[in-house]
Amino acid sequence: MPGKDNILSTVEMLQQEHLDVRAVTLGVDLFDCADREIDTVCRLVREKLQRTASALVPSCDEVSKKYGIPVVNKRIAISPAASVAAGHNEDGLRQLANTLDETARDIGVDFVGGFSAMVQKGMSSSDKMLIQSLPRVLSETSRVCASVNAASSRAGINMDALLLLGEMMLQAAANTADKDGFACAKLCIFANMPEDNPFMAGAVKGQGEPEAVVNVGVSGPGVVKRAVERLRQAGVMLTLADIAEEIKNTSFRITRTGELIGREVARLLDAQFGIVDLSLAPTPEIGDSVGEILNAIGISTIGGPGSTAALAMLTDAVKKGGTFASSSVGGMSGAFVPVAEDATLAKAVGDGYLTLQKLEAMTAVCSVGLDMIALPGDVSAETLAAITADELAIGVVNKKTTAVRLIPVPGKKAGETAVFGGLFGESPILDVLRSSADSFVRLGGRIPAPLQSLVN
Amino acid sequence: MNEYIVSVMALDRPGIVAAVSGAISRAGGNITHLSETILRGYFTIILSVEGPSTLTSNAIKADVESAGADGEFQVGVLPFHPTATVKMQNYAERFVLTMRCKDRKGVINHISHMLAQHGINIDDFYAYVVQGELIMVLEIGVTQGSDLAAITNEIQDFANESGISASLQHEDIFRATTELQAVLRLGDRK
Repeated sequence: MPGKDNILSTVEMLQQEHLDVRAVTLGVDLFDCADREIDTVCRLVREKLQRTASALVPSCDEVSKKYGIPVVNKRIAISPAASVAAGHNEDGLRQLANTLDETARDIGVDFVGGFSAMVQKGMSSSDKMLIQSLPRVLSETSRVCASVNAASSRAGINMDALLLLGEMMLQAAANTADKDGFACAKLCIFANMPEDNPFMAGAVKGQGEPEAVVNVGVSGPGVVKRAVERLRQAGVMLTLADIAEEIKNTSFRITRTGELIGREVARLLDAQFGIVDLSLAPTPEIGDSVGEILNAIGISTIGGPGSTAALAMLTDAVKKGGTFASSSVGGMSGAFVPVAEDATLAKAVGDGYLTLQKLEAMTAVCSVGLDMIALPGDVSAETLAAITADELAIGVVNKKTTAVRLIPVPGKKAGETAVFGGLFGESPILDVLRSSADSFVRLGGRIPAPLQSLVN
Repeated sequence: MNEYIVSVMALDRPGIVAAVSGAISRAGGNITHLSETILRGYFTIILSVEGPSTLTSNAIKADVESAGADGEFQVGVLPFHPTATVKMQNYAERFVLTMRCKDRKGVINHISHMLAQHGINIDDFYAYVVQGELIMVLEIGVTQGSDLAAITNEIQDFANESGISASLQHEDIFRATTELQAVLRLGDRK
């Protein structure tokens, strides 16, 4: 048994510093539900999810009680819907989405991810159909999340898909204009999409994954921030290496917590344990912010000079602690900077320090990408595609995952506030430079995969 | 062979362990287990001693007492009963109860009474007061068939009524966050 001081510091970490398990996501293979009749597909999907995932919420609650750790979100990720429902038309895809939405509600999970397509090198007709169904699927359902892998380091960037997605984002936003375009908050566009990501909107059960798999997203911005603050308040001479070391140690403990919970839930569900995603996922709550960690490290305003370097150090230290803690680390594993979901980042946008350009630079050293970014409603599909391509290029060239969740807010301009509510938070709308990339985007086709040698 | 459990309490100073172990050795005993702690300047030790069948508890007590100054050591000796370890192995799982509250009379009594009523043994208990706040850490063994939900609710009700912050958590959460051993191996207990 650990020493008393360790016990008390763990209890403090749990009770006062917002340590929780942010997401337990059960991946369920649905390829065996494919059929030419959409009614049959939907019936098989419903039956399989009820069979495999009904125990998810009670199991999480049981484990949560045993260890005294809240499991905030319980979710399901399915095999990419574009493949499961290949060959069906838009009405069929909407029917499947409604089935997923209802089943998720019945099971008690808040989101089901995997309404997805992999189009990095090209779109099949089924992929295209899925993307075209998104405006209605995302506005007509409340729990279904979509994601599209539109780029990879081996395939390059599919600009045709990005332009189509830009058009669909505008339609999805228009369909939910009364909610500031909220439908787009449930769509994630990836470069190098991970197949074991537990976080929404990008969770999907990849093809190389087992029949049923539990992936866990730990949280912890609050815990890391308090650890850094405590170290600084101790009054000893510090260097950046001391801060990095403290973050590393804290990440170790957070990761261990996630793995313990994940393994036990997997055991109860008779599923395989997959991975712990180390990502520090903020919420709009005060004290649960990645921005506040950077403040604690010594960056007075996020977006100001030093922000990228501090974020790079944070992300690296989190990864080092986490990989030592567990041999089952995966997903995105970094530090999220989702603007609307992080009150400190949203404030920095409002104060004019954090711009789209600076965010892009910061995402080059962390995961995930331009996440939960509210944009003016009059932005064009071409501009959305171009901004997305910029972010995906960072992932493609650096062989890392980047993702984009842009929300064009209908009827609103830069500087006004978009309100999404709950964990999705709110944010001032970021300005977009008025410069046209239309001609570039409309060339279409694919940006070729980057050279894998001459890497300087 | 005879086995005894020996306890010694004294005002702390350097040399107590040397004096006690020397006395046991001279009496023909061999120390097989030992746990020592110091609380507010007072030393306490509990030892398991084995020796020949001629070794008596009275002899151990007299020899250890005479190893200190007159009246310095308070010594207790009990014959060891082998079923004690068997009982301990019956624990299905171990939990840690941590509590914090403003220091006042009766809290420890209330909580220990509550656990006793549920047949729960306290394996280890550590409490201290810092700036008027009482902090308690209890390690408890929960046997198969114990109604953990009822115990948790009762503790929580008491905590809510009394303004105490309390949490009951499985020991593995503390092991996972502090030990280097892989989470996968936490179940491989001794």
